[in-house]
Amino acid sequence: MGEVGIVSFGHTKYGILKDDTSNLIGSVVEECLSRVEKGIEPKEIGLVITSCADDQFSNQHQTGALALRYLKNLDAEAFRVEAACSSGSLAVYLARKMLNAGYVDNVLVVGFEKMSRLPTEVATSVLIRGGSPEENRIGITQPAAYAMMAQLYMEKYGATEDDYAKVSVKNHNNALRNPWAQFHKKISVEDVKSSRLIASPIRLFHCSPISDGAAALLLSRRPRDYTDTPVYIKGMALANDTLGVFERDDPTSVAATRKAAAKAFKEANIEVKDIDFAEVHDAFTPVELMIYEDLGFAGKGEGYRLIRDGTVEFDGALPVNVSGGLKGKGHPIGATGVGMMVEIFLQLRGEADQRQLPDVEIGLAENHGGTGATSVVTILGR
Amino acid sequence: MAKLLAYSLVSIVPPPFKTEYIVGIAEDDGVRTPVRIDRSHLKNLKIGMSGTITTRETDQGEIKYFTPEEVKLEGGKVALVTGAARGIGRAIAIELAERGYDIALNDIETSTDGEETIKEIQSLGRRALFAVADVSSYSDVQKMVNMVVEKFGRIDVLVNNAGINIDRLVTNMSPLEWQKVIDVNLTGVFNCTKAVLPHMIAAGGGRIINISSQGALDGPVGQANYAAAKGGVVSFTKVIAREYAQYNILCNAVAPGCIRTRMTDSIPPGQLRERVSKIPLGRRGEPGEVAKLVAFLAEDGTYITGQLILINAGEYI
Repeated sequence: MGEVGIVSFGHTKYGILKDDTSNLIGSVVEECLSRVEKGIEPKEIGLVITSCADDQFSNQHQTGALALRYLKNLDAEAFRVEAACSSGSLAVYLARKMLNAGYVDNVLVVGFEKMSRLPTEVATSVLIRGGSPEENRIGITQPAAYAMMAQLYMEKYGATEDDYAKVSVKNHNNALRNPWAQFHKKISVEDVKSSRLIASPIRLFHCSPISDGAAALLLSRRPRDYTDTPVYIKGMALANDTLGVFERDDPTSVAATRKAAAKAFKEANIEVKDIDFAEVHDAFTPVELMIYEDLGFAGKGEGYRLIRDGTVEFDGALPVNVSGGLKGKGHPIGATGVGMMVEIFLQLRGEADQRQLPDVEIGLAENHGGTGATSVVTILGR
Repeated sequence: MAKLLAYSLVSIVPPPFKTEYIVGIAEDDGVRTPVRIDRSHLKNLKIGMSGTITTRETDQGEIKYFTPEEVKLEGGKVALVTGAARGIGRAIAIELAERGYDIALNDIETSTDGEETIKEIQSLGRRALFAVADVSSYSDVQKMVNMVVEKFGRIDVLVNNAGINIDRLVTNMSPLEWQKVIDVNLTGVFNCTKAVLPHMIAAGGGRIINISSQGALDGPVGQANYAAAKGGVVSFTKVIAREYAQYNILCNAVAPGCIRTRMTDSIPPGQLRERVSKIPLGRRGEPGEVAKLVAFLAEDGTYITGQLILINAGEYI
């Protein structure tokens, strides 16, 4: 049995879209099938896994079966998975396990979210469900939970509000090169620091937006049957942690990401220095600095140095979130993890147009749910 | 004793919550708990500070609260009372001073009456300063409020009491006479409220009490300008209550009836007797009685906002 490879993709623009859940799913399924270079018959796809974070956004149950309508193969099996913001990666994780087990030969993964259906305050009350019940009850929103992590990180390690702002600035700059991105707007450190307070010290321009969008990937046990240039999943791991920030030994780290990364590196049999670029979960930009540390890009308490010295910029030694990240590209929750892997697929195949990075062979995706109760780290290579 | 590990002021709040609130993580005896913290503590919060965790029954069930150890304030609570040299304003200033407030006493000019009020407040052991300003001038008011905050550090309570009357039938009232009363009695309330609000928001809350009048409701002949302004104050009060509840700022209006002040002293004796005879309690009210109501709204009244409260011995029901 060979490595599982990604052979095709579909991807909508992220943003406030007119499409409903059904249109979003339909468009990426059809695009993904039509992009298969050597062609594929619907009956060759035995399983479809959809991912979305919440039905209140999608207004639709049984989205797996809905995807089969567009696949035009009602004999395939289909279901949906959920793990808050990491739903998309979880779907890919499960697809790979099913392929490795030999259950089917090809799996179609479809991530989506239709968030703009709900008013902002209702969306906030949906998103809060990603935290612990004890936090939910007293109103610790997602931004508030990240805010406390960000506050502690500054207090403990000497990062500044400027460092946090610079992550937002970087990701907005990167989004300028991505036609799928929700924002094509250059912003300054001052813009971030003067934007509206959401949950101190988190401000509006630290937050990923409310987004609609979908992304699909076709994974295969026999990728070369469908393309000469598949992208392989070299290592992929899932890890979990407590739902609540208050329950964690170290709230300045996403421990699940740390655990998942260690497992993924081990499986891929590579080291951190082999990673050429990464897409990480900057749902709230301060956490991107902590993720650098959890992935091993920087030592503990030193993540902020990478944004200060330019390492993680588009032209730096280890570019992070060249797609624009969740902050600039958008964050249609269930699509996000799938979309990260679409970005890495394109970069590794040299198809990323104006945002193409030179000479990249290995890319990493880090996608976590809530403040990190679920984390999936994926290492992809040619 | 518990320790505060982290906190955040949540400005965008999900339902069912309506107002900004502070959340945090506190640790007691090695056990960490997500907590709420009363917004009034905002200015004094520090990571690592000590406090106690208590449980409160709320609509959302039992919620843990962290209360920081008593933080010594520079001086005490501060009230700004406009038009406080004499009359109802003076009584309010003294009543609040008796309850532990330092007083910024506003009037349009310094006066012996004002100086005496200041001395009386100081004799109660409180700080007092004369804050001269014409409330109808926003730039005057802004300077005054900045001066009060600079000297006393905060404003917990604003009492918009300053008012004038120029009584005429409308046919005899000049546009200038109309405007003058509107400027002081209505625009003055806007000016002082606008200047004080940012300080209250930053401090985590406050109380605003506007002195309206029974005249806002009962159509007093000869007081079209006064009644219109005082009615405007009631509407303004309701809007402020809704706009700033989220910042823990409570705003109410008080409508006195026939109170023994210079204003009612100037009513011709025959007319005054006739008016008093129609009051169920059969007498004029004392400024001190109004002051006690204002003090209640300033100190207690934690579940009262956007209301007009009449204090008139049943003269208008």
